[in-house]
Amino acid sequence: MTTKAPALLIGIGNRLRGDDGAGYRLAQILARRPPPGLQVLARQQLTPELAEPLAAASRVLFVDAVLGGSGHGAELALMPVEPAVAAPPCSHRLTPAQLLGLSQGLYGRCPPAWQLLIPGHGWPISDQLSAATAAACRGALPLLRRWSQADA
Amino acid sequence: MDTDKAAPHRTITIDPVTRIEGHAKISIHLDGRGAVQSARFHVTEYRGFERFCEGRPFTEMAAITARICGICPVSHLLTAARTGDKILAVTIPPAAEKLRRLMNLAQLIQSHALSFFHLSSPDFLLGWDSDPGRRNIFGLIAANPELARSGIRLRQFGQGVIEALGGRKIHAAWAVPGGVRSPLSPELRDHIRAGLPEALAITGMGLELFKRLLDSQLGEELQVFGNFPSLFLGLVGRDGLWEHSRGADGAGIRVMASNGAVLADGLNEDDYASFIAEAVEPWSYLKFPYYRPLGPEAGSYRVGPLARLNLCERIGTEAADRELLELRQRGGRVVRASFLYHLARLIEILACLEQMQQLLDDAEITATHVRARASVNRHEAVGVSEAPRGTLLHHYRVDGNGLIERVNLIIATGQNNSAMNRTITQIAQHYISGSRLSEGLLNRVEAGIRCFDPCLSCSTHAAGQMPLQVQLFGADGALLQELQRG
Repeated sequence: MTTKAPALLIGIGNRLRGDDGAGYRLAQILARRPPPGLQVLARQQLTPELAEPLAAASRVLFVDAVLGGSGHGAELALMPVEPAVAAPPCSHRLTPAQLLGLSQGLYGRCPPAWQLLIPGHGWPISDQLSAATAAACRGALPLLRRWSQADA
Repeated sequence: MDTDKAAPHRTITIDPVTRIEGHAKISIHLDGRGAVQSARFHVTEYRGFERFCEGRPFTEMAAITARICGICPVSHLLTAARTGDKILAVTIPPAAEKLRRLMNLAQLIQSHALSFFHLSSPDFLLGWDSDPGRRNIFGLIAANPELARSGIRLRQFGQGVIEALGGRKIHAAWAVPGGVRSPLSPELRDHIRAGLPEALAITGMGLELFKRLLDSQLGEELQVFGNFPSLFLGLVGRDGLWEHSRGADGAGIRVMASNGAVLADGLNEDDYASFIAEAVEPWSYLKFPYYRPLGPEAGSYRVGPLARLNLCERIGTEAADRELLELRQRGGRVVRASFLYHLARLIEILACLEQMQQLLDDAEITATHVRARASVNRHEAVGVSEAPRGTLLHHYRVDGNGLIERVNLIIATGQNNSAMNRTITQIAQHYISGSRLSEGLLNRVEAGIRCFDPCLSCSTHAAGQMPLQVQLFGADGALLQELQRG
């Protein structure tokens, strides 16, 4: 009997920069009671060592905030991410595509990947989300739970 | 005869410099005959953390200054906490002291691992003149996947220790004035301990690889990548032991000349303004600190891994001391070659792992009393620690309520500023003339900067990304040639 590799969700953001912390906070919420078969990581930024857990995952979802993003009230949607083959422009902070490329290069494997971008309205020095982004996060949670159970 | 008068002067600009942390450019100034007159390392970013800390409670400084940088937040965290200890005027519990040391060791490991394995080794392993599009971590993966994976694993180990202690890998607000927020459980101690053998094996592999490269193909780099006399400055422990934390009994700042003469010893960070002064140049946001008694030229000094190994008499652990001896056999009692910063980083990783083992074997490391509490007892304090890139000083002045009135941060990268400029001038003079300008040659100039692993995010307190632009200007300012990558 083989154990199925877990799905991986990585929430990205800075909790002290307003709406930029949306992805991080969503990951924290999910990590409190993670759905079966889901590994959850909350990170300020994507760093090279994440390539290893990525390679071990059955699939991965990156959750991040984007300034502006889709318009207010627009439906959130998962977008597929392909591994980048180009070099990372910076040494310690990677994009999801670069991290996938790194995983492929280092470990010969990168799982199917998606990205969910939560619309943010500002990156002020604050540990609070704006009302609109907090609402978007609430709307995202059922989507994230459905994704986590998609092939459970 | 002055032929320069007849021929136009030219300037080559490398903008930005790649595989460092932050924004910078290099300009190389040629005379009319195409010979390099000088090279300058320009730091072109500015953020000014010192100003916006004003008015904040000093207890927040650890969390705020840690956000100067995503690479070495722990260094700021620990130095700020140490400065806060002095404002409280408390002696922190022994377990807290040891836990802070453990975290700083982990920080040195993860930062040095990134610098050696991922930022610098592509140059050594793929070649200075190799395709710049492949001369990076992806090229390294293709050429030596085991090495690339090992670098990741070693960094992961250091980051894992930081996370185990502080709850987060980046910006763990765990060290606070008076100690640390939480103790280390026996389970986490054992978990960290279990990772040591692999980390030691990777470090040994890196050391053997780099020493083999030094012996076989990097002899020229040893001679021309910043090989010059200068002062060295850093913390030294009691009996001349290698040190990275001011909290240790008897630790103080030592200043040493290249001939081994100790110019000052046991200096207290509280008096830093008496022995460190800062010069400014109009072409860079990065200041030029120098040893005040000798002035800006003769007082130029280097900090960081090579400085720490030069300054100490011994490291105090078996394997690291063997490597230190070999380093000195290779480069002399006081090593002048900046290229050996790379080797110094690997030796320091080894030292950190050995000291980590000692700390984990100490029963006190899991003691639960880890914080002393007090209110403001002093209105001014200076804290110091050894960050991966060198000596880091925080200086705070607070009011009666503990609100910050003034902050000064003396950052390691800034203290290497003069040395970096001298290094790139030496490299440019050796390799570049106006008639033979190539990307590979310019990469060597950039690599001179990478010897110091500068963190410009820290030194000017900002961050950025770096494609590369090289421009060649005539004396009249006209663009003569341009190379671009990234």
